[in-house]
Amino acid sequence: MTVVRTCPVCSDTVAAGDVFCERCGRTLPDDVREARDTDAVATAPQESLADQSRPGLVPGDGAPTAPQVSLSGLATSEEPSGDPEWEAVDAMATQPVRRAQRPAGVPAPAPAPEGVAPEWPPPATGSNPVQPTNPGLCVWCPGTVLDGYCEKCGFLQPTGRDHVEVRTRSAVGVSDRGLRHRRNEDAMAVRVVDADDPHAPGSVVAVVCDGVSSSPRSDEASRITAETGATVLAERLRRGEDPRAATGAAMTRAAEAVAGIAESPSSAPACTYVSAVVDPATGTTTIGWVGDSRAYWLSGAPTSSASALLTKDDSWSEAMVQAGALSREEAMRSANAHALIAWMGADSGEIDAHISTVTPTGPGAVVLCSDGLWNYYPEAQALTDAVPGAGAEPHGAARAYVSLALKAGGKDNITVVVIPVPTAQGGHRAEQA
Amino acid sequence: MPNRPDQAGEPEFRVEIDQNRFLPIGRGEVHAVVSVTSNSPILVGTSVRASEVIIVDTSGSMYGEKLNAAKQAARAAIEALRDGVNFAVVAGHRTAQMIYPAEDRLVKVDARTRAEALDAVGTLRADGGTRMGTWLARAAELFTPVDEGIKHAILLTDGQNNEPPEEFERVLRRVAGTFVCDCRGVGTDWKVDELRRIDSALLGGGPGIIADPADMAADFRAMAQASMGKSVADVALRLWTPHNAVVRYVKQVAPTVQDLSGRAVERVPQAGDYPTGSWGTENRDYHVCVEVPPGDPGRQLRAGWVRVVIPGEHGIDDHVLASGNILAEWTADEARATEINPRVAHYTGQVELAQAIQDGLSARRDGDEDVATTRLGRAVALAHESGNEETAKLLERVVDVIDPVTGTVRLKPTVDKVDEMTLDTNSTRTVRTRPRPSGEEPGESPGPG
Repeated sequence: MTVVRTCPVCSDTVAAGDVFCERCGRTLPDDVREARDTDAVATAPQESLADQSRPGLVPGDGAPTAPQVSLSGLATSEEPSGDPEWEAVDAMATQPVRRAQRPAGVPAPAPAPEGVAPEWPPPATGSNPVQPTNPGLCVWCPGTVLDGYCEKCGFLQPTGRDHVEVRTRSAVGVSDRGLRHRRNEDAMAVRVVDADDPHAPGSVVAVVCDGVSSSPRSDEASRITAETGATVLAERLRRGEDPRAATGAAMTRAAEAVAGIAESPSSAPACTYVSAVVDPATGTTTIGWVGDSRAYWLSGAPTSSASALLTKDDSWSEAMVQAGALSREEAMRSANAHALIAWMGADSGEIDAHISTVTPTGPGAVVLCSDGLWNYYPEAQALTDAVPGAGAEPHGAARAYVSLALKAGGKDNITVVVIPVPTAQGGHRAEQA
Repeated sequence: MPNRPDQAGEPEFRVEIDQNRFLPIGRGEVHAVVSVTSNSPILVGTSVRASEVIIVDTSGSMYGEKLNAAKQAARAAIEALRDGVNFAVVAGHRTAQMIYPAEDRLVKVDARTRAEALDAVGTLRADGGTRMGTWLARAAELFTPVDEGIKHAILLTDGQNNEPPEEFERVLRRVAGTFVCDCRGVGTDWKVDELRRIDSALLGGGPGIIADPADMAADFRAMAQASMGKSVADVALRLWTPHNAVVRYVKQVAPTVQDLSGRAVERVPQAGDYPTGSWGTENRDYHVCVEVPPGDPGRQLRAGWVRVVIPGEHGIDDHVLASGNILAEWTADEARATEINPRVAHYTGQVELAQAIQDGLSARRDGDEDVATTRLGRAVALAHESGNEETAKLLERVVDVIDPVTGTVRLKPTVDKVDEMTLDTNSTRTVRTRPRPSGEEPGESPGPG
């Protein structure tokens, strides 16, 4: 298996050992340069890669999606796994992880060097915005910041949330204001359970929220919701709770938190919500969502599960399509296409939160994103093809996705979290805030 | 050698940048006009730290009227030197002969030394050849013991250099930047290119032609006075550029065209120090072109960070006097991205004008009338377009202008040598445009919010 290295700026593929991108000439960050071919999950030999051997991921239309947690009045069932309907969905969606043996005679690839993590202090750890925590460091390169500009690459540094990056060994998130909006109303939060934790060791937790622009203080809404959701989710996992139960509990608490900042129901900050819990050992991924922020599985090899959208938007267009009233194309052309039919906020009324679990066969990546990205790449395969090898180089991939969305017009805030599967082992080394 | 002006004598520098920072997607060539303004107090008494060497060509060809005028001029310059300035007078022929003082050193100006020097100038005799490299080497030796302050030389010649060109070049490379030299050619037997080479290596204010020996004294007095007005030496323009950026060129474009591109010294990482010599109260403009790797739309880059510095030793103790940012921002808005800043356009034209004149005159000397007509025609059009009336007038003495707008011209059958040399010498003098008043840039103010 080969790690695909991509330039974080122009997303062109770069060769092993390259210091500069051949296309744009930009210096490649050390994590791209030093990425080594790793074989954390050995794959079957090439001749067995016939299409029929390709594992499925989401069988049938809409299988993983079902109403689950009622957030009405913020009273929530926290025992979703007892629901027979959900058992059925899981049975359909879950695939065994294949761990093929290395063919005889093929030498083991060199082990990943210790220095895969960037040699410079990452601009941000945990999910704190880059700027407030490390005003002295560039968010794009290893340089330091002087008068607001990087003394190495020269880029004007983002202030506050204009451009935020979260880097851990197991997940990377990039959030950007885009080109049209005055502020970034998206938010993200990433947590990694310590590798030596007795429960869910190394599990990766990520949440992306997109502030509803028609609501007041939606930047605050998304930040509080994402932080609450990720914190509660990680804490529940540490206590040994089942990922599905933890996902539901986190959504309830997140919804409470955002409802709590409303001055009145008529002036209620609101946002979307999508979370992922990824088990480092099995790749089993539990997704929870309300609204139209999405989760995707991106296939990283021909032997992996095919790329798939893991969520179904709580949007007017999706509802029209589901009801058979409109075709997807017709629905998307409508002025209402992006109108939400569910969100988190004090004015949301009774809403249905969705939870689904899949176990993809890796390698690949779980990606959470706001519509600032998926508007340009709605299809899972198109998203996969846009940045090949996202799971192998999550940091470069997250930046490349943001860069592509900006190049496509950057009409909305853009947030992308990339979680490689299999995850980087050793969550304790993923520095947390 | 670093120069540390007194706190009281500290000049005030200001940097202003004119540019269109918007770039089309996928492009990375950034142009800016950097205007540097200095306002320095006039130094008197003990705070005067200046050295002046006056070099007068006394080769055989100077005999007669020219030598007499040169004596008058040297005296005028000596009279313009303030008390406390270190000075010497050198006669240049096949060697560099000390006229005052007799020994190889500089002496302080006071009533006695000034009177002695004025007398000594009377002993100048015209004899021998022209070896400008030797004269400049002597000046450099005289300046060597002086470790700070303004070091300025005035060089007067009337003829071509007799030295082998490679020897002349070797000396220029050795002395480049160690002092500032203003050159004057008298008559029409000297070569503009030679004085331009000296001017460029020693960061002079542009070579000058003294057509009438009678004008020499006034010209020398003005040069000496200008030199006395300088208060800070060895000023560098430090240009920082981003990682992976390439500096295409750095040119002084006003008051004269001077390409500094090859003169950068890297004293601090990612930055080149371009020597600018000494400064008094004055304005100079620079055209900077940097190629940066293209960025994402909406991203803003500091494509160049310009600082006016007096470099300290070993890159420490640098004294930064002023700074400014050359920015780049990518946009899909074609109209915004392709607009050319008026000052960038103006100086691009002025640099092309200088080149067109030099090419045209060179072709004319070589008998290539087609090229001469085309290039001088282009020069006429550029001078007309930019309102450079002085150059336009000088051009009219060399060509008959049929249409100044299109640059249609005919070469004059006979041209006075003085007119040709005056045009050549002055080709690098540009017309300055004023920087836009600060804060009038369209759009939001750049920089971190």
